[in-house]
Amino acid sequence: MKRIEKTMILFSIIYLLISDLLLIIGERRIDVYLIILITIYYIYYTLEPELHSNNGLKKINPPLITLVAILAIYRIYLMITGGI
Amino acid sequence: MEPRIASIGLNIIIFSLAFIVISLIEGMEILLGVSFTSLLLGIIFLTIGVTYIEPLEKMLKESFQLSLNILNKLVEDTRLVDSNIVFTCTEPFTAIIISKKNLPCDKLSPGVGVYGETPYIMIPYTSETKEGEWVNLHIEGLRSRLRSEILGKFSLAKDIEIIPKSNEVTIILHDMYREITEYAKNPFNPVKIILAKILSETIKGGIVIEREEISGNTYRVEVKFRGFES
Repeated sequence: MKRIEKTMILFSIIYLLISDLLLIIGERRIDVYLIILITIYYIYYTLEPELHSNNGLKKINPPLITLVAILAIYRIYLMITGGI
Repeated sequence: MEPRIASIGLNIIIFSLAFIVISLIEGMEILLGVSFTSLLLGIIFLTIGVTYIEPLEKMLKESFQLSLNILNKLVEDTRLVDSNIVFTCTEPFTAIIISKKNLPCDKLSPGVGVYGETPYIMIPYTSETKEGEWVNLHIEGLRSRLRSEILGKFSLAKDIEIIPKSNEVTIILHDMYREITEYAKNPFNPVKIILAKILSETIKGGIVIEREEISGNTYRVEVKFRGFES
């Protein structure tokens, strides 16, 4: 088995475990799922040097961080206006 | 490209999209978050699968890029930059030669040398096919072999056109990959070298590439067969 395959299997396990955990606790907010799992992705990306040289991931990283920022702003806005 | 990871990614994306549609129709809000995160996982898998490059490939690319600096300088110093030809020899040993003229194979030695007043660079290689035997290959056989080698094994271009003439063929590589086109513009042209090797091994004889032309991402070479020469 190639190293990249092992890396991806481990990433999928962590990713789906967290995702299932959110499902079990009855989380319904989509933005919470996305913020937490994009953060998990970034933590894994930082810890796994093999992913650093991937040019495709370098391209999808800025849109993902922008998405997290937008969702976080949206959540803060809801907290301020009392929309939660 | 790692097809297995890419296909897993594509499958996850398809299933996630199906789940998103189902949860929107059925109003199952709890499923929507998981579906979106699975979609994200699918996108990550697909991106990694499509853009993955083997570590060995990376190392070889870097080292070739470095070697190209000295190879280009070598071609420039031997004044073979303009109008050089590439030909191959099968006797006394298999080799690719870059020179201004078509020189007799038995008078040349590996490395950089001068024959008469003509400088040349000889790159010997170990042939994968049995040497010495001239095979009068049918054009269809040549076409299918070149397709499998150039489009399949080496992935130099997206399409190949082979136009046969009496004792020569014109090979046109359509839609060459951008990176390969950049390599082909070097004084030491690796595409021309690899084409000479493939052709020589396919016909099991010597060939001469006299003319080449790059326009956009199309590469055109005219190849003569040495075995037919008088």
